[in-house]
Amino acid sequence: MVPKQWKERGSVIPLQISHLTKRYGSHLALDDLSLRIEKGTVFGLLGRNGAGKTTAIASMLGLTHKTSGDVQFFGEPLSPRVFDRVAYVPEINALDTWMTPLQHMEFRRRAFSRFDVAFMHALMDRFEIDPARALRKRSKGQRQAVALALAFAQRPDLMILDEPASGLDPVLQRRLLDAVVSAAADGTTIVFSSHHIGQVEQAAERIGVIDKGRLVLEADVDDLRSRRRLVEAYFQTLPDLAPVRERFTSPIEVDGTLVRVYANGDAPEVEAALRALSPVTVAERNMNLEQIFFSAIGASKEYTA
Amino acid sequence: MIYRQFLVMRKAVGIYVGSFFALLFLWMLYATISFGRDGTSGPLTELLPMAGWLTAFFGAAYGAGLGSGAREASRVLWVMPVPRWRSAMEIVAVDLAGMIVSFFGLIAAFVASFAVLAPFHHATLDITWSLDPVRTIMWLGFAFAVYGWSAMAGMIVRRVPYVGIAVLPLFLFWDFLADGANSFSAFLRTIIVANPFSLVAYSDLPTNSPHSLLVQHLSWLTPPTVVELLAVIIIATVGLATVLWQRAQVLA
Repeated sequence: MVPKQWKERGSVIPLQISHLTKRYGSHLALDDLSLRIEKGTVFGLLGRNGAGKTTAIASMLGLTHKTSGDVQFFGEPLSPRVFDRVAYVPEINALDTWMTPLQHMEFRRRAFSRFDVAFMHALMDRFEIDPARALRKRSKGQRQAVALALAFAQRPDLMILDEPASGLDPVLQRRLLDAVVSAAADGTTIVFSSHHIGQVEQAAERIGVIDKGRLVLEADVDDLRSRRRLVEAYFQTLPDLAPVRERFTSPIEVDGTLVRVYANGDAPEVEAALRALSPVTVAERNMNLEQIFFSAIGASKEYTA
Repeated sequence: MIYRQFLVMRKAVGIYVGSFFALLFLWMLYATISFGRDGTSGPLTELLPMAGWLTAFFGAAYGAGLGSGAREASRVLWVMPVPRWRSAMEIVAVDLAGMIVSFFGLIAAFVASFAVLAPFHHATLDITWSLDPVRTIMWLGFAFAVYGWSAMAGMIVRRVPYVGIAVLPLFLFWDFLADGANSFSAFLRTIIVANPFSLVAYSDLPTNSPHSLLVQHLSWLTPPTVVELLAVIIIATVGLATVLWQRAQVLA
């Protein structure tokens, strides 16, 4: 049941990040990140390990000092008050393992004004959590399930989940995705990072791809799928691709005599350009999110080979 | 915040005082069986240094929840709708309350061990039940001051788990160095009023003890002055630890 006050809240942007930059000495961990996450969106932040996803989340939540930039939650800067509306689950399970889920629940109930005890009990059932058993006696996945249940039971307006499915078995992963979709349907905005493209594909409506600290792609998943096309051409002998490279900025992958071009709205023109090189066959295909991701970070061959 | 810290401290006090009672009881049992004993008497106040030292150790070991004790938990504690300075104050308040319970719990454990064993060995127990308030506050203040230093050290060197416990041996080493005659020692002697160990050790010395350089240097101290100095140390160290907690980042 969605609390009434949720629905009455205005349509203030839950999360707006402007030019967020984080530097560790000479290393630029996050480079000028700007994002605007609309209310009720499930936003998937994709990137390789070390791409800057966790740094971005830690910087926006004030857990690490940002070098520059601005972050607004619900139209106001970060303050303790904001955290009553934000639930965060870190990548590293930071829950005290000597505590039981019931003790964690009591701790959160005292801290968060909208913590829903009944919902927490329902989530513990759904995630198969023994409420009275200390977390140190539970597996990594079960600890993660407790952290997620606590976050959902906060009844937040914005959830920030850093690699939420880490350690969960396939059944619990499925239940997590269901919970994400259900919360989003109730109006909760969800930002979650992952390097598992399949999870993002199942839950996210909008994605951002971070690579080497930079946001290299941000778009609606459906738009991406409809605009991005993969054009494959098979040649008897590999021709000079210079005319294609000069004309298009799309990433081109060469695997033997097979040429793949990740086209972005210009697939017919790309196909025509490849046909001009006399291939044996040319075909245009839909791209899945994995291929879109690889094309965005420009490392497709490395991963698809 | 108070709830979590209460759980931490309740467990720690239980283990600490319980372990002390068990060990003390076994030692006394051994001592009375081996050597015999026909009576125990004395003022309760004489137990204060023992309780103060053990509580100081407890404070340094378990109570420094602000520093290394909250390395991972900070990812949870710092995203709660509570200002960080207030969360720090709540942790400190619970820690200090736990130390008070520990302090008097240790004295109670000591008395209880005597009381339980005395009848079995035809010994008498004659205790003067009053506690000198100034000395009680001084020894509690000593434990709090060690806690303050420990919390501050824990915040400064957060990457080293439970580094706060090192402050006690460092105080002893500082005291030892300050008692030397060279110029380096003179500097350490000048700032020795920041060392809680030196303050209580010299204020509790018998008047006929040999006068070392350090004793001469601290001869102006009276128990009330020691209490005031300890209060300054507590406020300064806990205050700085709170400021560092406010500014700290999670450890990668």
